[in-house]
Amino acid sequence: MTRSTDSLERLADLDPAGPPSGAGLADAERARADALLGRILATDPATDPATAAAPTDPPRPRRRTPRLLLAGGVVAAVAAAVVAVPLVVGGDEAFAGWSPVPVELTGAERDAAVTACSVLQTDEGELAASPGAAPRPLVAEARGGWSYVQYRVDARDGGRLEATCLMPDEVVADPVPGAGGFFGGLGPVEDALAAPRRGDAVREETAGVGEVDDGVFGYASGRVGDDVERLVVDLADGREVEASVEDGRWAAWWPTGGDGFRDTSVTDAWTYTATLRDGTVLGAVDG
Amino acid sequence: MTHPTPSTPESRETRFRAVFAATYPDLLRFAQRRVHPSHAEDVVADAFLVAWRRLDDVPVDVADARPWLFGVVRATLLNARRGDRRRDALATRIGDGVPLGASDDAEVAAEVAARLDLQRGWARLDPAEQEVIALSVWDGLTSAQAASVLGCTATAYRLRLSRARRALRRHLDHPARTTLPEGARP
Repeated sequence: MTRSTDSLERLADLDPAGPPSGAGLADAERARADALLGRILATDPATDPATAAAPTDPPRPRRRTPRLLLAGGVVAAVAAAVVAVPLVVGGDEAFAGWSPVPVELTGAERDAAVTACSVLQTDEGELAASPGAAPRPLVAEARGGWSYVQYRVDARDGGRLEATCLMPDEVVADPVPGAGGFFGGLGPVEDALAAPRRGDAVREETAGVGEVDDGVFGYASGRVGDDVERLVVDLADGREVEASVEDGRWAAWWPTGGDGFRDTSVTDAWTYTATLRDGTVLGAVDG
Repeated sequence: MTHPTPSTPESRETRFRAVFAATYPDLLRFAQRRVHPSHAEDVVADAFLVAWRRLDDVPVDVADARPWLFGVVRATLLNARRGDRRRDALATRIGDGVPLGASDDAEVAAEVAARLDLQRGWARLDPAEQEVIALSVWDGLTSAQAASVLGCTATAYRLRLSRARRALRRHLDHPARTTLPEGARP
């Protein structure tokens, strides 16, 4: 494997418990473990006072019912300032035309989608764009009736903003600020995150789940090194979602089941397959 | 149609023995990463007492029982630390092995330098960041299993892990400046 997994592999070498030792226990440890087992089995599990002071159960996962989750990376780094608008769709049927392979938006379609997003993401507060500043698209793609746009624009306060929108065609055609109907985020650019130095790098910067009622989807975006030509998200449920890759930026999204927080496409770790310009394929990249 | 096996004393003991045998080494290593080695076995003993007492709550599948027990150990440690509100950082082991395949001194030196950089970067992570990485890299848990240990959703764990990895990469890319004492030679 290449890229940053190198450092994580080294991290395994720094395990304070030492390297894996096959059967696992030294003879003395094994003897003490056997003695412990005997002591425990000799107790009455129902009444023995030795267990009265036992710690509580491990914490159980808490079910949450967020209307919207934006997390990670550029957007969530400034969660307090993020403006996020719930997606208002009727459920999974909203994504019926979704395609695992995106269509890059170009020309007038690209301009329309970016303009629609900038209209929807208009903010007059601390996330206001500089008057007259033109949004600079980073990624613009379509998947069966939905357009995804990621752009940057100069902020009124002198910094830069980054915005994302996932919009159905009807919203792209007639964007109405405050009317909802799309999913997106707006926040300051996190400058600390430099472009990947390695040509074959795959970096996941943002990932999460969008949810409104039973219309749920997972999404991820980030950066790739200069050598990466194609990137596929390999979901735990077996689906392969081709990401849009534009000038070192990538993004992908996919419908989940009715309950995205239990759907394996988002609750289990997905990986990436990167194809380099020289044809090399890097599989099971962990982002 | 099947029914749960009746919980006779014999079946209960058989099941506990199986869980104990399958998970004790991993649980000991989990504890050794988080407490002084002299206390690790005591912590593990406490966790198995809980499992014995609450065997009906222990997941039947050993693969699921392992993170359940990790969660008990973690709860034990958190209870012990609650008094002083301290969150211990996870220490790394000083790398003492020559990397496999290292063919010359320069390669060994480069590997040692990389490990030292990594240790410095690791030390700059906050304990929560260290914990989410450790559950994956050292404890070998899946996102869903690690999430059950931490009491969050698997999605939330994945996001925390992604952020922690990014933080580590940033520390590696931008190492903190260190000042050598006067007279010291690099």
